[in-house]
Amino acid sequence: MIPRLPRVLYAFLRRDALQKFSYRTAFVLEVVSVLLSVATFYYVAKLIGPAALPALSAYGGDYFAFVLLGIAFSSYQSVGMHSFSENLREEQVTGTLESLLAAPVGLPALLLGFAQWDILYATSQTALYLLAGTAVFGASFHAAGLPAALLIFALTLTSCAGLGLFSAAFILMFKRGDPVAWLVAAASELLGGVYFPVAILPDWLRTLSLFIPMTHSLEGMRLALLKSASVREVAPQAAALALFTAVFLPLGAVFFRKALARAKKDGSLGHY
Amino acid sequence: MAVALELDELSKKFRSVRALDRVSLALPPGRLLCLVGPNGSGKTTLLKILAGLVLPDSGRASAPEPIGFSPGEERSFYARLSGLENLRFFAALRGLGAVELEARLEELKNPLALEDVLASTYQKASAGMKMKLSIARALLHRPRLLLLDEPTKSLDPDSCERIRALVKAEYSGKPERLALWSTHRLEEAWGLGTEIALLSKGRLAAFGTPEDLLRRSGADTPAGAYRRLVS
Repeated sequence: MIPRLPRVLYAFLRRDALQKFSYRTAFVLEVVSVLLSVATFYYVAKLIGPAALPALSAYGGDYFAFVLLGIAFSSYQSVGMHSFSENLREEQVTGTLESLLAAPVGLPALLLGFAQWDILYATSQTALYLLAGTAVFGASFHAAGLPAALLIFALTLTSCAGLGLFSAAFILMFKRGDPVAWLVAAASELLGGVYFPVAILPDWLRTLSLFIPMTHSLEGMRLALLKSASVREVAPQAAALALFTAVFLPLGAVFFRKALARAKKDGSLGHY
Repeated sequence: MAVALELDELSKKFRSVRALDRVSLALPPGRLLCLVGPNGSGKTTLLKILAGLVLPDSGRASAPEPIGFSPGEERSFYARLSGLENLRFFAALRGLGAVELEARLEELKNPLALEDVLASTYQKASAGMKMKLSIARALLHRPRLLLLDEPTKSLDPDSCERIRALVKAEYSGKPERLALWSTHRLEEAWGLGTEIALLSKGRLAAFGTPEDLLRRSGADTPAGAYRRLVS
């Protein structure tokens, strides 16, 4: 019997929620760490003087709101990039990967099942960042930019998912030491614009930053939520993310299928 | 004769180790095939190829679907979930809803003595309880092809007997169904299998009904037949 997609997705969601909430202390500590992080950046923002204002003026001039959006939404790139590979790795280590692949579930459903909890979790974490930032520390965001923010959010996930498939393919083949995730994560820290505007980078680094999805994702998010940008106004960022999606998603899918076939050929699916 | 399972020159090599070497056999439905052979003879590789988890290097395997597979390893469930939660998850991946699962578990609960493992966290279950849960998962969706990799290796004699009876009742003589059961226990294979395949170093050393194998080997006991046919 071929299971229907909603049933499969619900089963994954339920499984992940049960597992996550079985580690109650870790869950509580993660919430506390979000709150501490918000407080930390609130006080760091107080040190950012008027000299920084020109670079921040494109985003409303408030460093706290700027960095809060950066750290909150950078988690979505992390989900897109790491969700498939980390879940695969966990299934390898717990020994459940073969049992999953023996079930009559298509690969897209399986991968979606892996990612959906992480997406929901990142969303609730982002909401917590923004809620704490606004309610406790007085940051302000523009609800008028929500449609544009949603578009950027969706395209961030799809563009990073393509890279995530490459990352998952490496995990299937080499089990550990995934160079794609390492490279993109390291480059994003410096070039993605999480902590400072990309505009302050030298020209050559600024050019390099255009090849990272997070640069466009954070730019679009900030324009939407700090400057009330419309969907049309974030079209350049949306187009860049759509291009990443169009290139990396199909390539990543092909690469992942080939890696899976190779693991089946080597008999190494259950290895870790 | 209608053929349910057909292996045609199936071969598999892992680096320099030949796991299966041109294995061919055909079986009609309603049979319970016991795979017997020493460690490394290719039993698990054959089951994994049929489960779609390993690709053969050459040859062909055709088998009925859906498949239920119980791997020999203990680690194939989520440690922090209960046995029931684990089965709920894997049942959903096989298209079973809560009502169907409940009904099926009623049928499997007693023969597999699942009561304790369903309620307890998987990581707290004993090796035998874990194996029973694995067999239950393989049987949940009434697969047409059942693949059990050494299902009785960590079970007490009474549990072994109950599981043999259950699989025999659900598969032996049933049209459109077929079961493969790997074991090191010769008495088990001769008592349970409608056919037995003796594997040695990846080759099919002998294949036939238990009586055939005794007759061909000229031995009086399964152990004697095994020694003569496999060596």
